[in-house]
Amino acid sequence: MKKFIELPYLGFGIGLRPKHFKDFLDHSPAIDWLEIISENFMFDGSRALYFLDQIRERYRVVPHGVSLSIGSSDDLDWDYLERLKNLVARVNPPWFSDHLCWSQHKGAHMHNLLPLPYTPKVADYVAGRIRMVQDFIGKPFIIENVSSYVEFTGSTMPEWEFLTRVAEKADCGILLDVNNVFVSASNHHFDAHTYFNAVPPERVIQYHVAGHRDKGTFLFDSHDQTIRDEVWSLYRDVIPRFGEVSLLIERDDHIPPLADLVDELNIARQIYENIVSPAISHT
Amino acid sequence: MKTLSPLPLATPEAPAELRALQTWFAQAVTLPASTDKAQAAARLSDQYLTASQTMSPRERLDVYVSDYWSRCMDSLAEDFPGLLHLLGGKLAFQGYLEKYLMAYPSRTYTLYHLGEKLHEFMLQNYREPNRDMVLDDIAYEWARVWALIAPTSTPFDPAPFSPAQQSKLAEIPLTFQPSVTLLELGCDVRPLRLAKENPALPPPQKTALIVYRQNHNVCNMLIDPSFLTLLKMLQSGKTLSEASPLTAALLTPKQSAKLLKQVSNWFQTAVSEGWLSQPVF
Repeated sequence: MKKFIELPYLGFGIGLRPKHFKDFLDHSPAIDWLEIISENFMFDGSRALYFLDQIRERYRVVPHGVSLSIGSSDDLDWDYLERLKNLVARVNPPWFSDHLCWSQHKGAHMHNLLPLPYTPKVADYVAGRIRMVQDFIGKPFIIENVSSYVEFTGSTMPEWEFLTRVAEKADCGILLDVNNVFVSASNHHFDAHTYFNAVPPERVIQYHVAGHRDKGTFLFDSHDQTIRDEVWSLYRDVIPRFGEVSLLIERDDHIPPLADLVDELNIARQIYENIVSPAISHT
Repeated sequence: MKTLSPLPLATPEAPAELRALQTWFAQAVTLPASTDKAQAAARLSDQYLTASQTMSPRERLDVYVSDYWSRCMDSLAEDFPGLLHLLGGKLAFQGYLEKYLMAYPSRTYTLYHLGEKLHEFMLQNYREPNRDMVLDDIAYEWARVWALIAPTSTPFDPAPFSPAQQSKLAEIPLTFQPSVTLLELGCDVRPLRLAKENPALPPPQKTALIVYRQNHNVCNMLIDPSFLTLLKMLQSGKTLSEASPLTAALLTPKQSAKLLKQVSNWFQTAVSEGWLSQPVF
């Protein structure tokens, strides 16, 4: 699968969290790459940066933001972007990422990934902002689909068309969160495969997989437990369509010992190899 | 580590309907549900949101409302566990903190700064009998958060100083690392944040405390009140030569003589603990 831009395949990674800083330094576990929450490393003198500087000597690290607020009607926050640019310069990743959402309004931050109304006008607005961010940071940007719990009456297109339009107009990559698609598909009653089949394969650079909670009337993207079989099953289904795509497991709450996450990562690796290896042996 | 960047460009104009939707959504999510404005915003759910097969528009909106408040409250409770005890538990804590967040909504992209204005808010709004202890506790707990996230300046290092520069150290303004907070408290509030439930309240006792970061960890140290006075003068821009006699003048002759003898030792402590920045001659 030829991608829209030449970027390295990173393999199978996990999100780096403070609980595991020392594990990485003491044991250097066999994990291909790490993702960091950008904002946690944007303080000049923080303890997190001290560990990051040592860990990045051993692992490829990619910054993943939660507060870019690319879909906000506020102006872009240039102070934030300056700090992000410094972080990107520090870790020299192949790309950086954030979410297709908004989290800030009139200067107030809501500390959440809030969904957007899906219209061509909003897609083009967001795409314009992504282009500015990408130019300013000077690295390829990939945008992630979020889980959502509401749908707006003003939306005129499905989420997958919105995501595709944003990525193509912005000329950026896509971070396809398999769990988020599963959660949103359940909450909004669409077929997850319809979503995946509409996303342009050449733009999908990275996957996220994570755990979610069943709240009875809706699914909640909690990142606080192991990945459910249904999500692994979807991952298995999408591999042939998107080809070689770097995968990352996210865990943000009830964080288990690192060895448990490595076990989960090995499930992903096994699924991928079971799908891809037979194909390779026949070529 | 700073890199030069091109001048920012003007951001594209947001579609009017997006601006209107986000104004509504932000009000509905970030105002406490008991307020008239939040209730009015929630009544517009049907206009902006569709129902799902299992949830009404209002119920779907409430997912974001409860997520916002639990995220903010969890973060504040993590940063101010002592305050949670002092206010009488979770419900009272939430009551005050809801009003605080209305007055001072989060203005930065990280939750670390959420409690930055809490001291100012409680100073204006908290009138209960334990007011002084509450304010002391907030000052201490915020100093701990600040010590974690404050920037670093070049640490004090006498090695490159020439003999002439060393002899002038007492004559130049000394600056502190940004992470340092000097606290003069009415009691030692430190045990409150470590307690599990209903902690014993600390007795009234003048407490001089310094909170700082050392080797990427948050530290604190009880110090002699005279030392605190001296450090505060240094922090205000006085030189060591100016501050020492001024501090001594506030004391009895006996205390004053003791202080002047101790200044050199204290200075060594300030250097070894990493409180000072490298001076500019």
